[in-house]
Amino acid sequence: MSNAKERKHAKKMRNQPTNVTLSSGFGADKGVKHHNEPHPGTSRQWQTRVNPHSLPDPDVNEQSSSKMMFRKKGGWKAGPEGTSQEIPKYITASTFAQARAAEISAMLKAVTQKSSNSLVFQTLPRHMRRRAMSHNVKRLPRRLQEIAQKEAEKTVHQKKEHSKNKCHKARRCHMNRTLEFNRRQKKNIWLETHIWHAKRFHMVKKWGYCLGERPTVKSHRACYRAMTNRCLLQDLSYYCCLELKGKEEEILKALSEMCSIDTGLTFAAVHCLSGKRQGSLVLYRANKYPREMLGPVTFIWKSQRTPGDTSESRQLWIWLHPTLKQVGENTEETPHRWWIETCKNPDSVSLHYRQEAVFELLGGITSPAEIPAGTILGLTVGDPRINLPPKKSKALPNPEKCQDNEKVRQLLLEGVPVECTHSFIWNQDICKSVTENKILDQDLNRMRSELLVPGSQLILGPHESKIPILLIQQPGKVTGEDRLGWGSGWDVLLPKGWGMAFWIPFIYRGARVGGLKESAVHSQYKRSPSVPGDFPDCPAGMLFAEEQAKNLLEKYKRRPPAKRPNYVKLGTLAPFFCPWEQLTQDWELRGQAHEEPPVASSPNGKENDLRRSEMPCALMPKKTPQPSDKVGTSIDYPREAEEVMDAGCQEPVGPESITDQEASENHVAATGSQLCVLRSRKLLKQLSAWCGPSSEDNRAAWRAPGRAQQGLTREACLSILCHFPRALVWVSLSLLSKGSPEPHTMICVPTKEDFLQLRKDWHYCGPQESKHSDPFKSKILKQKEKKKREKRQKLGHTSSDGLAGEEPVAGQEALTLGLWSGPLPRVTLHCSRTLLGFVTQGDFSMAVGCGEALGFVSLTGLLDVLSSQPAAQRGLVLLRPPASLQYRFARIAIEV
Amino acid sequence: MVRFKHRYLLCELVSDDSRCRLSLDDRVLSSLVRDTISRVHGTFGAAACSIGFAVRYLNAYTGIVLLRCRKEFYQLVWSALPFITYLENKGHRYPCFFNTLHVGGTIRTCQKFLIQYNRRQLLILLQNCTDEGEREAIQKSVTRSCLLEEEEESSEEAAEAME
Repeated sequence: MSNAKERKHAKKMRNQPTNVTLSSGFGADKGVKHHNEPHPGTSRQWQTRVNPHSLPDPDVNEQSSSKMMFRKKGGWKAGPEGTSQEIPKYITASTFAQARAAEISAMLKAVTQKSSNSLVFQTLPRHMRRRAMSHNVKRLPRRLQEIAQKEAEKTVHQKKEHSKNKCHKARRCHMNRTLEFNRRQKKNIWLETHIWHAKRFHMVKKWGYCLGERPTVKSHRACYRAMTNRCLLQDLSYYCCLELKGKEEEILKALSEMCSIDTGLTFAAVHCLSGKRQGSLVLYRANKYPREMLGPVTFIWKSQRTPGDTSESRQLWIWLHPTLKQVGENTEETPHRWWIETCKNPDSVSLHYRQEAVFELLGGITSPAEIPAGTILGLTVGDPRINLPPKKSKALPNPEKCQDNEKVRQLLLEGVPVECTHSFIWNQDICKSVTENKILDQDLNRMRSELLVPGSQLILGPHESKIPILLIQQPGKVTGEDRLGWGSGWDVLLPKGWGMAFWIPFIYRGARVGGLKESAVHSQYKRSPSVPGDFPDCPAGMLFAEEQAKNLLEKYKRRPPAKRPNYVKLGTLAPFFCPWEQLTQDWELRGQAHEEPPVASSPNGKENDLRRSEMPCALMPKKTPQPSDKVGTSIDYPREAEEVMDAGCQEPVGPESITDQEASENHVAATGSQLCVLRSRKLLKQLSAWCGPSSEDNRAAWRAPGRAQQGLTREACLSILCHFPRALVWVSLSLLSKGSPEPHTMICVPTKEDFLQLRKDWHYCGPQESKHSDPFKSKILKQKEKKKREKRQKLGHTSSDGLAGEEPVAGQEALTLGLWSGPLPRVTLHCSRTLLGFVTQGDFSMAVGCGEALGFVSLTGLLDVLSSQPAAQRGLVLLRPPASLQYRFARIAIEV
Repeated sequence: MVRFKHRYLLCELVSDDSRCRLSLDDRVLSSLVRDTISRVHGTFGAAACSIGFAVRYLNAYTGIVLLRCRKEFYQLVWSALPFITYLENKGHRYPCFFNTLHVGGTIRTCQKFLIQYNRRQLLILLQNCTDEGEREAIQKSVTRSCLLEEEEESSEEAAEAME
């Protein structure tokens, strides 16, 4: 029984009479002592009160009376002399009466006094209870009023001090409210639309902001429909903007160290530099490519007034996810926290009209995906609150309105002209004045109520604010072959303070609002990595993974052991995180063990050998094999280690490969055991061509016409592996038949038997993992028993428990039933199918109609698998969720 | 609220042997009743009565015993009580018998009944008493038991005043 429960029970039994036995209270005074008296004080009092009466009675008298009693009762014989001391010799009427009286008093106390844990109000029968009794004592029956009064006083003390120093009306007053709101957002900044969101969303505190995670209404499917056909709206103002000002060359020079042309276009891309388009890239720590990734960013240049004038100072905005902010600020040279600001009075009217014309044309386009990716359009618009529709309605595209097909076609081909990308939002002073001169909602409503005809359009004339905004096209899905342009849309940049003014009209025009979860779904359907969960090589991504693992573990531990999956038995080593480091290390060792002996036909150089052999040796201590339960793996270890040593004494063919290897060695030596994610577009394209089954090879070749299509040869693999010994590749997987993967699902390599089965029967679901044994269970049981024994010992003699008590506690922390404890054994070989990678996002995809997953696989493993698989079935892998034994077939694809 | 319903048997243990009262103990008593039930009603009866059976109150001086059992089978217990003829403890046998005073649904009703019963007993004792000294002592205890309620209240009030 717990302590609180005991206390409660004791309180309940406080007034109840306890058992009275002769043996317990005997000898103190003959039968007068009453154990049923709750307060020893009162019983003593009572005894003293009795004694004076019995003292004056002469002893003889008492004895005689007792003798009389014997006779009356009849036949009571005194026992032997020994026992006569223990038992009362005789019973007198007075003692008999006293016992009765004591019992009566005890019973009376039990009956009359309330001893239950309930309040007075609850002891009343239901039909006598009235609501007003809860706060007005005088409404209670008079016999209970006193107790109720006492109770009420007690609860007043217990109640937390209310912050009701002000009345409700004062608290609702605008001044006090803003003060209170400012106090509440000291720790986590609120977005402008926070209050709107807080009423409709589950809010989370993330990255120093209060963000809406998901709507409280059931809207998963509705949000998907909004993504595909209509409009899904999101407040992204938590993204950070860095403004760089200066000479174009200087900025470019500073930033060129942080990005690589391998990963795609850099800051210096022609379209972006002119200010026509938005660009996106991946930042690395200066000169550290391909390792030490910082994070993905998007950027826009301010368009030049006079093209060709390079001396003019330029403005560059870089948009970052808030998790990357810390890192970003440390490395930038001129960081300016940029806040969206305002402006007034558009001067160049002609430009304004041209921008307006372009915007009109946009209405004729069925999907934003049709115009070039990242197009920027600057506009100056009126106050959206004035022409708010009277009723919530859906804005539908109206193709008939735009008959001007010629112009539309031109727009699609060339994009928005450079002049039209200009917006006053770049000018801080103008932005500030727009923010300051915003008409309050209150004033607008007052003016509306003063209108002559209620409900008619409010015309402010020159007083209406003019707001400079910037529209940026988001390309949606650009990679892969199917559903190109899915999920495309527009980013709207507004001056500070105008968030809510635009937010409500958007919603009145039929936009659906999504939260963080919806954005995750969007990026998953787009098959693009989401920030920061899908960047395991950047610090933000590692932090995110750690936090996620902690949360999942906590959630797992909340369930009783019988109601949660035993991951040890399921053969899942890491159900809550993805051990990328270990995975890549394992594959690196395997790769060296498997691939190099066949190449070792021509032993040329000897001077490199030593160096080569040093590396695996240096790595080996980290990989000290854990005593695993499987005999097979433990035997594997020494042999493989030897093979590695052997392999070190060999050298691949050709002079280029030697230099390659030397370079890679230097690379590896420099960066140590750090893993990286492969982002070189050239290599990714090559890989994606290899991934598909041979029938698709033609198309893949067509997609990369410039380069001679390399075959999937060992030399090609090796040359890649030399550069990236521990790399991960971002892959997308689509399931062949059933199954919907979840995060942390394992990507495994199918065996030859699996392929045979699949060829026989196309509806073959997939193999099953056999159940593993749980070596920790007995340990946990033993520990429990030990603990119990010790506890009993402790109860026996409370002291003398110093070190022995602490030891099991320390052990207990490490062991949780159903989780692998201690360092992980070889992750790749733990199950019957070799592990290749992990899924980071996965769900049933409503866009495709089957289960889809996104994740990372080891580059070494992928090449190994691809080269060993037959051409017809290349790119097939197995997926197994952490809480299941069933493997499912999936097709792997790398989208560039 | 849903609860298990019980029956409480308020019994009086009558014995001439005072050693019997000495050895009266809730463990001894419950085993005694259990044995008797199994002797009288067999294994089924013993099993049926063993659920929820308990000795809730016991006073060795007055011989008052409060037994609890489940409402469904209280008749089995009740009917077994007259078959108890002796109390066995540590090899000694003390002849005794049980008098069932009251059967109630709650402890509270039993307690109320016990108060009434004891008062009646005291009055009877007072009437039958012939000795002067005895008579005085009994009268004292009677008045004490009657006045106890008021006394307690007054003491409580005093305590409150102190607070």
